[in-house]
Amino acid sequence: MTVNLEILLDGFSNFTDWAWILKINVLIISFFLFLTLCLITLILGLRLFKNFRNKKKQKQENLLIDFLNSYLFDEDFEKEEQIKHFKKNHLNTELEIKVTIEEILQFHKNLKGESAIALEELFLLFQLDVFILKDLDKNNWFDTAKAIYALSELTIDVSVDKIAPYLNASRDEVRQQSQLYFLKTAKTNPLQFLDVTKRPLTTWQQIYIENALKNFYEGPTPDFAQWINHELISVVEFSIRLIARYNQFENIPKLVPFLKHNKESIKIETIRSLRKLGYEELLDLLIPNFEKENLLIQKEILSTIEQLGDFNDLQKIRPLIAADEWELKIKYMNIERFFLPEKIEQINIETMLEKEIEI
Amino acid sequence: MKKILVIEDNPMVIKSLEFKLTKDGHEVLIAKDGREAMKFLKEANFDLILTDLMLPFVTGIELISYIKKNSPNTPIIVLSTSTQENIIMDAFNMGVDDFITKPFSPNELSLRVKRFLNKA
Amino acid sequence: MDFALHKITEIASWLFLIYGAIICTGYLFSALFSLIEIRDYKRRNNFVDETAMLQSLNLPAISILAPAYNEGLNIVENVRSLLTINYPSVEIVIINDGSKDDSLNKLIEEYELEKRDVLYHSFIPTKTIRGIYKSRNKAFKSLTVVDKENGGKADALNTGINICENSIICCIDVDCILEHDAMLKLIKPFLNNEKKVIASGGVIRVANSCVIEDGRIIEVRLPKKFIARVQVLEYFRAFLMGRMAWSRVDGLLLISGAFGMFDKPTVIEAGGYNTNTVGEDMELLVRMRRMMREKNVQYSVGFVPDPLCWTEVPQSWKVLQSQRNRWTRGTAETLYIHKKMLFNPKYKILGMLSTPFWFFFEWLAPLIEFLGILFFLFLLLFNQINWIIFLTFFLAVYTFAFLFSVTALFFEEYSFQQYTKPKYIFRLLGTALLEPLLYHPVIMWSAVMGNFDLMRGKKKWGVMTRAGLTNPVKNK
Repeated sequence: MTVNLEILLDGFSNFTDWAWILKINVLIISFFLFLTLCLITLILGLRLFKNFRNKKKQKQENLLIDFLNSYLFDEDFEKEEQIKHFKKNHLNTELEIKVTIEEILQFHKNLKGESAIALEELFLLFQLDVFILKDLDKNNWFDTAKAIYALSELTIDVSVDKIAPYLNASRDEVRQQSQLYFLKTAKTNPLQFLDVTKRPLTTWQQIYIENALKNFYEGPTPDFAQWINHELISVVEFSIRLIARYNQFENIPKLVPFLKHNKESIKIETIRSLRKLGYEELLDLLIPNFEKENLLIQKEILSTIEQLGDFNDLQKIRPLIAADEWELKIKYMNIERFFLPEKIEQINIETMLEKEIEI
Repeated sequence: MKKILVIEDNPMVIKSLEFKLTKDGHEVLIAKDGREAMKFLKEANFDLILTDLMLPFVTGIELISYIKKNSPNTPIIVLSTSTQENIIMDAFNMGVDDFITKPFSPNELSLRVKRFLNKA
Repeated sequence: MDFALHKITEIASWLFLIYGAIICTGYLFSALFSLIEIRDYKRRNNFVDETAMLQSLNLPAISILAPAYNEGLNIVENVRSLLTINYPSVEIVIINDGSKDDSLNKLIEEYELEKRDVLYHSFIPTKTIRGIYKSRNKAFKSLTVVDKENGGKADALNTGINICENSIICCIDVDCILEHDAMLKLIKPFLNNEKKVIASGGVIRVANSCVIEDGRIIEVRLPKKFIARVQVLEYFRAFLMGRMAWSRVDGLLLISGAFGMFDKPTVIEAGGYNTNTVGEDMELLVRMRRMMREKNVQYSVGFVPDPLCWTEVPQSWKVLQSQRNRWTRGTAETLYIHKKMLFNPKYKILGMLSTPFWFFFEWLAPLIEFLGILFFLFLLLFNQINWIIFLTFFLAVYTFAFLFSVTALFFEEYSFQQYTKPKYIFRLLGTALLEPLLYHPVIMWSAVMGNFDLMRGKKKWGVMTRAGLTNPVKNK
C-alpha cells in the first residue's frame, strides 16, 4: 500500500470531491484526538487534585473530631486557650473553614441537649457566622441555600429581610431552606411562612417541615386550622394531616365540612385525620354516601370501619360493593377476617368460590 | 472497669460515643456492623450493649434475640433513628431495657448507661 | 460501471458523514446535559437529611419485587441483604417462577416460612400461583415468598404486583446488590411531587471482580477479564451520559429491569408487564408514558444520577451474545409495538426525539454498520478500495469511539470516582483502545443476528448461566 498521495490525487482529479472528503476526515480525526488528549489530561489532573484535596480535608476533619469531642466531653479542656490556638492555626484557608463548618453541622445534627448548645456557642466563638453571611449574598443558589441551612441549623438570628426574599425563590433548595429557617428560629407561630407560600408544598418539603417542628421548634404548637382555607391544595392537605398528628381534637368541627369537599385528595386527608382523631360520628356520615363515592374514598371508608367500626357496619356496606370491584372486595374480606378470626377458613372458601364464579 | 459493646455504623456517632464513654471510665469496644458484633459477642462477655437497629448484614432484631438467648442478664440500650411506635414496641417486647432516639443527648445517654451498669 | 460505482461510493460517504455528524451532535449535547445534571445532583445531595426521612411518617411504604428462577446458589444471601435495607417500611416479595432447583426449599428452611392463606386478586392475568409463604419468625415479617408456575420474568413481576400491599413497587433482579441507601435515594423523585411521578431509576454498576460479602460490596475492583471491563465502559457511557441526558430533556425511555421504582396503580392501569416481549422493562415504561400522554395528565419520570445497584455482567462471549441478541429483539419489539409514536408531535419529546433516536441510532446503527461492512467487502471484490480514504474513515470512527469512552471516564472521575486505584484509569483507557477492534464487532454481530432471529420468530430469553458471582472474598 505504498500509495503516494500525489498520485492518488492525480488519479482522482476527475473527482475533486474525494480530496474534500479526505480533508474533512483528517480534520475530524485531529479534532477528536485533540479533545481526547484534553480529556485524558483533565482526568489525570482531576484525580491528582482530588487526592490532594481529600488528604487535606481528612487532616482537618481528624483535628476537628478530636477538638470537638474534647470540647464537649473533657472537663479538663481549656476552652478559651484552645479556641484561640485553633483559630490561629487551623482556620485560615477557605478549605479549613468549610470543613470546620461542615463538621460542626454534622455533630450538631447527631447530638442534642447541652452538647448541641455548646456547639452553637463554639460556632460563634470561631466567628464562622461572618463567613456564612458572606455566602448568603452570593449569586449562586448553592452557596445561598447552604448558608441559610447553617444559620437555621444552629439557630443563628439574622435580620428577617435577609432571608424573607427567598421564600418564593424558584430554586427548590433555597426556598425550602428559607422556610425551614423561619420555622427553626421562630419563638411562636412557626408556620407563618405558609401565609406567603405561593408554590405547591411537595412531600419532600413536608417531611422536613414536620421533622423541624418536632425536633427543633420549642414554642407552643400552632393551631393548624389556620391554613385549611389556603389557596394551595397541598397546604390544605398538609394542615389537615397535622391537625390529626398533633391531636387537635378541638378542630374536629372545622374538619367535618371538608368531607364534602369537591377535591378528592382533600376528602381523603379529612377522612384519615378524623379517623385518627377517633371522631365517633364519622361512620354515620360516611356510610350513607358509600355508593356515590369513587374507589379511593370507598377504600378509605372501609379502613375507617376497620378502625372505628364493627362487623355490623361492615355488613351494611356489603351489598353496596360491585361484583367486579375486586380491590374493594379483597379489602372487605381482609377486614372481615380481622373482625371474625374464628371464621377465617370460611371466608377463604367463600372468596375462592366467588373467584371461580367470575372465571 | 465495665465493658461496653457499641454497635453503630455512623462514624461520627462512633467517635463521640467512644470518647464520652471512655471518659466516663468504661472500656469500650466498637462493632461497625451486625457481623462484627456477632463475632465480638461470641468471643467475650459485656456488661452493657448499646446498639442501633438498622445495621448492615444482620438485622437489629436478630442481634437482640441472640443476646437475649445467650446472655439474658446483659442490659441492652437501643440507639436508633426509628421513631415509629411499632418498632419501639417490638424492641421492648423483645426485652431491651431502654430505647434512645437519634439525635440524642450524650449527657443523658451517659447517665442512663451509668444507671444500668450500677443496677447489675 | 466505474463511474456509477464511484458515484455510489461518494453518496455513501456523504450519508455516512451526515449520520456521523448527527451522532456527534448527540454526543455533544449528552455530554453537556450530563455534566449539568451530575453537578446539580451532587449539590442537591448536600441537603438530604437521612434521619429526617427515616423518621417521617410521610415516607411511602415500598414493596420490593424480585423474581427468582433457579437462583438457588445465592438466593439466601441475596434475600438476607434485602432484609437489612435501610428503609423504615418495606415489604419484600420474592417470586419463585417455577424454579427447577431447590431455591424454594432453601428459602423455606432459612427463613422459617409457612404457607398462608393470603387473599389476592389477579388484576393482571398471570400463571397459577401454587402458594404464598410468610415467616413464623418476627425478624423476617417483611418477607413474602410466592411460589408459582413458570411464566417468565414479566409474568413473575405481574404476580408480585397483584399480591403486594404497597402502592410504590421496586422491581429488581434478585441477584443485584443494592447500595445501603439505595431506596432512600430512589424514592426521592416520588417525593418531589409537584407533578405525578410514575417511575424512577438510577445508575447501575458492574459487580464482577468486586469483593462481595453477605450481599454487600466491600471493595470496588475493576473486572479482571477484558470482556467484563469493556462492559464497565459501556455502562459508563450508557448511564453517565446517555440516561442522564435523556432524563434532563424528560425523554427517558428505559428504566433498567435490574432496578427501578414504579407507581403501582399506574402500572396496573397500563396493564402490567408485557409477557410477549423480551424487552419488557423498556416496553412498560414506554407504554406508561404513552398512556399518561394520551390521558393528557402532567407527569414526570425521575432519574437518580447515583450508583445504586451492582449487577453481574456476562463474562463469556456466548452468554454476552445471547444477552445482546435479546436486547436487540426487545428494542425492536418495543419500537414496533409503539410505532405510532414515531415522529408523532402528539407525544412531544417522546415522539419527536426519543423514539426516533432509538430507532435510528440504537436499533438501526448495527444494521447500517453491517451494511457498511458488506459494502466494503463488495468494493474489495471489485478492487475499488481507495485505501487512504478507507483508512481515514476508519480512523474517524475509531477516534470518535475512543473519545466517547474517554468522555464517559471523565464523567466518572468528576462524579463518583468509584474505581479508586490509579492503575484502573490506565487499564480502562487501554480497554477503550481495544474495544472498537475486539469487542464492538461481536456486539454488532449479535444485534444483526437478533434482528434476524426476530424475523424468524424467536421468542426465548436464552440461557444465563449463573456462575454464582465468583468474586474474591476478603480474608477475615
